[in-house]
Amino acid sequence: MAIKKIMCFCGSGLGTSFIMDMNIKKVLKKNNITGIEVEHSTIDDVAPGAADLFVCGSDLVANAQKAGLAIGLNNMVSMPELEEKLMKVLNENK
Amino acid sequence: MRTDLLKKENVQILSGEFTWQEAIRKSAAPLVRGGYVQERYGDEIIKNAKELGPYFVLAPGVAMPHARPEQGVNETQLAMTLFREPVAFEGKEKDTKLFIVLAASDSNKHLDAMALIAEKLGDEEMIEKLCGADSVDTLYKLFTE
Repeated sequence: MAIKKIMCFCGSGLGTSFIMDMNIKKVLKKNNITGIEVEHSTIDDVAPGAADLFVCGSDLVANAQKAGLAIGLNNMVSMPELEEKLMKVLNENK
Repeated sequence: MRTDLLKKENVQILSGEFTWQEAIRKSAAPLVRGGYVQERYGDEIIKNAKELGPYFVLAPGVAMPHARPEQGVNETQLAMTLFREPVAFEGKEKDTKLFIVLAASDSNKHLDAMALIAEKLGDEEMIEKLCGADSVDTLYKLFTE
């Protein structure tokens, strides 16, 4: 199933998730991918159906996997790590 | 202006061994002193971290401790502390030296601050430079220029 909505989340929904949100939009733009909605939120909003893909820090990824497809990042400001993991998931779910 | 996002008076370098809880209280102290957050803000961050883990460790060496607006934020602002001795979070290496405390008064006002942090910390060489800064002046210049 194609991914139409990505939710980044962290404990507060303000800081880390905001940075991941911005960086995901940069990766999508760089790869000329359109039609994917990206938003950032708190861990409380992570639920099945809330998004097609969840992105968070590796500490929280177990919570997200219960809700659906998820990516955990070791370095939340690293563009190369994000791009590699995100593009892999997007290519596998076309 | 980048100097609106981080003020030099909110940048500090501290020596000594600290637990992660002490490090968070110390790194939030400039924001308490300036009235940007209430005194409880540091403890609110600690409470969140105990519940959810250190979700604000952004990259090896760097943490951006923060809580929600309703947990004691008065005004959006950043504070930066470099610890000479690295701090250990539960389940992580003892390697976190740079603490950038974020106070966000709502979900959007800190967009510029987050863009700046993403830009600066996306560069691993910059993280090394920040963590090795010899003075508050150097630290401040590296981050705001």
